[in-house]
Amino acid sequence: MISAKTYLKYLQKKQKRIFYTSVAFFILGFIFLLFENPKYDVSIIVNQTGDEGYANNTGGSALISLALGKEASASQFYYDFKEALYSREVTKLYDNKHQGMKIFFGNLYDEKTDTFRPIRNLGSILRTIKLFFIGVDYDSRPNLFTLNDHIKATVSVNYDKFADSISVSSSTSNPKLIGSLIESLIIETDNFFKMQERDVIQAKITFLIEELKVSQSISQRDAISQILKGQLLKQALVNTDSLYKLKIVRGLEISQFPTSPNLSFILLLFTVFGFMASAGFYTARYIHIYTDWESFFDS
Amino acid sequence: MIFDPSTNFYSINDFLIYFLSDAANLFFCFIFLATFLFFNKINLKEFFYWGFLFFLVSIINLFAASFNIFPDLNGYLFCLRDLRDNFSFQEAECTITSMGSSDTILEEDGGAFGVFSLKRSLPAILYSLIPIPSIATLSSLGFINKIFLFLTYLVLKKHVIHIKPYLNILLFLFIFPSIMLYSSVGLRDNIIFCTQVLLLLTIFQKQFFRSGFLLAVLCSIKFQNGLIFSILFIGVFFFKADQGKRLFSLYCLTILAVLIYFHDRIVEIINYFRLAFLNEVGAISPNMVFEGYDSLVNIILISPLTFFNGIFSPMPLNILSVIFFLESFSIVAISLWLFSKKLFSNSFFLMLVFITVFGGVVLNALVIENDFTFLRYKYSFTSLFLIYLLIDSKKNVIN
Repeated sequence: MISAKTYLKYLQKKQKRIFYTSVAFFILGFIFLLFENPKYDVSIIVNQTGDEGYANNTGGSALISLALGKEASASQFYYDFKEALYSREVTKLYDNKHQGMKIFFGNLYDEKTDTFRPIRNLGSILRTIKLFFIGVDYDSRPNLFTLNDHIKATVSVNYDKFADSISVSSSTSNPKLIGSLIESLIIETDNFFKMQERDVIQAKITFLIEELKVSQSISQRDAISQILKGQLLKQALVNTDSLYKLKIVRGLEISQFPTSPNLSFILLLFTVFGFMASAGFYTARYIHIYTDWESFFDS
Repeated sequence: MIFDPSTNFYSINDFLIYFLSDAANLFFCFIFLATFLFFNKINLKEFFYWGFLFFLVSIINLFAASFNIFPDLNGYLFCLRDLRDNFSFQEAECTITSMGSSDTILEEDGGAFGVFSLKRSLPAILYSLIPIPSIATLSSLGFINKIFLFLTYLVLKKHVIHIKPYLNILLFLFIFPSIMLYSSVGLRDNIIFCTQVLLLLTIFQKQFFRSGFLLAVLCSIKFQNGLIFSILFIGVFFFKADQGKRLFSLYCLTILAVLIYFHDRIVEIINYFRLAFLNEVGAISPNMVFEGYDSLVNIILISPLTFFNGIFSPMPLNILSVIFFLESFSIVAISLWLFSKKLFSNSFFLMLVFITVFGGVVLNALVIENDFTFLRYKYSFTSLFLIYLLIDSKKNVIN
């Protein structure tokens, strides 16, 4: 008959086996660690350029914030930067200039057909099943969406509210490749900001030149030419290769030693799994032995 | 509870760690279930049934977490880790209402009133009460949520008559797709559902302090649900609206008077949240003209239609929505069947419960645009009426 008392007695009898199983899994965890690829931390610290009054330079999302009754806060730039860095536009810019698709999915590239072969892994199989249920065909060939997902999964963007700076980082087993990815992404994000403003600045300059032509008053002409000067400076900056909206506070740094795998976590996880699996096994066995299955199936 | 401080969470891409973490948690849940079996709180059939539901947590999370179906899934795990790391909440996202959060409402004069909210920290505290072996994956919180649902089942079981159709309906309730889905992922909706069920039970049993405490918990996790439930709480404990026609009418008139007095503010808040939900689904552009609801009278007039629409929403457009439509249909059918048995003891209490469910469904339907977000918000209300009919039946069957 099943009861808490007999169960505890049964477990007491099996405690040695439970202990040995836990130890065995601890050893397995150690072996696993030996074969794990070490991962390094890669990071860059950036900030917005000081002379750009970002709060006054409201974009679409700031307008939404205002519509929702929130002030455009100091951290607004962080959110805009993060959205831009993870955007498909920046991914496209990165792929066009740096051949991102071939760098990350080159092993799937078929030179004869000039296309990529489909990705075959558990994730793609699960996604095929999921999309089948909602009636959508899924093609697992890598494309810009896949590269964008890869960037989102590899690179993380965090805001340090105390230092008011943004950290773009990654934990990777290939620090050189990911380091160059982060550097390129920052440049392309800045280019993306430049592209957004280029047309606006040009329109402003055209308008100011027209105003300057028709204006008669000296003071008015002086004021307009001051504004025009500012816009021309901006235009000059937008058209160069130097960073426009971003400032590199600290360049690319790669940790000296691997930061992953986490030894204590892996060993603890294996040991806990061994303990829970053996305790679970003996619990199931106890239920199996002490249950009157005939009456169970009769009921 | 073990986790890796250098990694936010492990996904299926780290297959071995994901598997070990999930399997350790699953074994823990089986042992947890078995403990109740050994103390005769559940029978062997219930043990297998719940064991299967715990197993489904792993499967559901494989689909839900891997494909980012719920983007805010990481938030609660993040706060739980923050609590475990620091023994307090250090991260801004986990602390009590901060300015600029979606719970802060701007007033006309430029000031703002912050709605008291512990929407991430309180669930994190509640999650920390369950000593699950690993919190390295997003599904860990799914296992904790399922444990909370199981404990709620144990409480409910005591109050449901132990004859076949009633106990089976109660068991059947936990395999309804929305309850099964939201109790298997790491979102606070399951805690909201469990709190609401317990709150309904304690109000039904006239336990003032327990229900007061649960209402405070509900308000802290989800203010709007707490506000809707206060209709039932105030009606039963302060107006005694469940004890006669006069008191019930007086309470209804009071509610109406409050609605009329605050009509401008109520419309403003509904429009505010509608705008916020539109923003969430990306339906706002800087040039758009937002046309909100213009008066409370209009809202009240359209509310019966909104309720029926909301109850059956999402409409069957694809395989997934057909499943949820069938669920909505089943809940309505079972509720009507139980209602037709006329086993409920107090028709005024029943009406108060109906008003609460009606308010919850209508309010959510008015502000939420996305079908599946609405499903997530409404499920904690739709099955409540059914649960009430189940627990109220016991009194009459015994008598």
